[in-house]
Amino acid sequence: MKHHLDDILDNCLVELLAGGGSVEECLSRYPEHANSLRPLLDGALRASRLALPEMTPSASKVAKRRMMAAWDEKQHRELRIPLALREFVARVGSSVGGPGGGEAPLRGTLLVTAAMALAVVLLTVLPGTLLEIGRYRKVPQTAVLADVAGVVEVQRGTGDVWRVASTDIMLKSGHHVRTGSVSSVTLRFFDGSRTVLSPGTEVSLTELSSRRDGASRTVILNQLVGQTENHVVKLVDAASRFEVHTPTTVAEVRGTEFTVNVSEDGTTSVSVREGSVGVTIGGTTQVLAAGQFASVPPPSPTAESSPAATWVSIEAPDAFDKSELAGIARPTVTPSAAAEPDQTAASTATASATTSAPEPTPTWDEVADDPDGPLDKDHPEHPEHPEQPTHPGLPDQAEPDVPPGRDKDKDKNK
Amino acid sequence: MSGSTDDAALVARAQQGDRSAVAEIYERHHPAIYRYIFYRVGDTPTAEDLTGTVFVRVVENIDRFVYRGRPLLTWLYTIARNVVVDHHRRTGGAAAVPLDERVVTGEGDVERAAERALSQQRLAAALSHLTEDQRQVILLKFIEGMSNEEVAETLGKTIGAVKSLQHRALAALQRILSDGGGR
Repeated sequence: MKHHLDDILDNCLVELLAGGGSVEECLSRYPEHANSLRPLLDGALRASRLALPEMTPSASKVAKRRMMAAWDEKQHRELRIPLALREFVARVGSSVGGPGGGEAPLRGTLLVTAAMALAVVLLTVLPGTLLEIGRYRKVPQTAVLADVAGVVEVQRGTGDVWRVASTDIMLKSGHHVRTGSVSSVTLRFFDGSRTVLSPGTEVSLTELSSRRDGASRTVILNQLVGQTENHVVKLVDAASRFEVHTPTTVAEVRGTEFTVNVSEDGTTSVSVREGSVGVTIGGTTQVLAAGQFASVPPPSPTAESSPAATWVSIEAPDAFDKSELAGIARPTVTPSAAAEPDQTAASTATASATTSAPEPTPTWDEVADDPDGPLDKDHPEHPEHPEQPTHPGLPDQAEPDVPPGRDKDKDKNK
Repeated sequence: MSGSTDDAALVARAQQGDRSAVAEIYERHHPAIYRYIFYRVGDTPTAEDLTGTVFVRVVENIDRFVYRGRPLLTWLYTIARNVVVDHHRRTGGAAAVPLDERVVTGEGDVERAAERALSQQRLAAALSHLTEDQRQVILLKFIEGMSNEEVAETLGKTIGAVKSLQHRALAALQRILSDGGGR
């Protein structure tokens, strides 16, 4: 009886949602169920006729930018295994893990062989790996939050929960920081440099490191949106660098003060208050002197398929042969907007160089500290969850779909 | 199913480092994920923010994803559900959103009052009182416009189970909307 009514309801719905017939016509075929069916059919039709909720275009762009920034950061962070080796490892894995399984000893031997092959590739094929040894080994460094004003949140890793942070919180590579719509914060780096985040700004700390002997100091930020004001101490050696990456540029300097602004549409603006900065876009380098700024439009749709074109490296003039600049076009500058060298107020100087966002800066909910911490091992997305490696056709984690006293849906499993 | 073939190819490209495939995953699926989250949290800014979080998690976990014939959207819905659960846990927000009890009045005219009152927010509030499976069936069938076969494939259930869930979900919605509150 129950299943019969399920089918009757479904048959009516199929007909109504396809635009054929009316509720009354359907009920006339099943008069004994009319009283039960009518409200169900009406409810279904009302729900189906609601306008679809849609993201605002600006919110969609911001969300996509977050995703692509996370992707780029992941690629920058991880070693890239050659496709051939991936296929080799996949073939080895599938040859011992196929239907019926393989013999355990053979599986173990082949997996060990694959691991050894991978190790050989890493050690001999890939240059500049993370396996630096001896005195050239890099050690991680830190930054500290200072001058917290308003709501400032920190995320310990991409995908982790955002937590409200306070002054003196220590940050390291992989952490993300964002400010609320009327909030700000200063990041004080291990080398004495500092970056001020204006309201509505989000950055991630891609790398904070140095050599064991203190040389080769590296600060790399990924600025997703908003405005930063960067005060960079003079770097100690040629290998040291301070970079700010945005969707279209990377600013790398060696002792200067400059501002980077990323508007919601992805337009990047770089303005220099002191010193000089080289901006490279798609292989072309332009030099900005104090008082100048450059504005880079958002990446075009084709740019996503050529990531190199979306990253810009800014080198200080003394870091490369100036003869290489011959023939390279000067950046587009707006002298009237940028020529305010006498203005010492940072907010005024940066405001003159930034492009106002066409849409309002998104606001974030104030989030209380999460006493439970990040994803625990029972969370289906935790890497160590026993079901994580499998296809996520996981059992429903929510409440059971039956009223108390009844068995689970007997048709749950195919 | 051509959609399954597309999903498999898309995932493979992303796992091989194809940036455009990652962008395509977003373009193809973010509307459905947003709609799901919207009807779970009931407000636009939160839904937009959480949608972004879902796709960041997709990037972090795409390498561990093993395609075995189920739609990619199934996995995305799983992540979206977990993101919403995490959000509710952080904010202390109730899983069930209170209904606006001003809506259903009008003596002897409950149906017209309910019809007049149904809106996205009201549906979101009502859905919050359903189980996850019931919610999913309502969203996939009547918001996303999927067929029973597509819903069954996405949820990993039989068509019979989908019809049964549909019946229970609509009955629950009808009770909630006519009572002006949860049971």
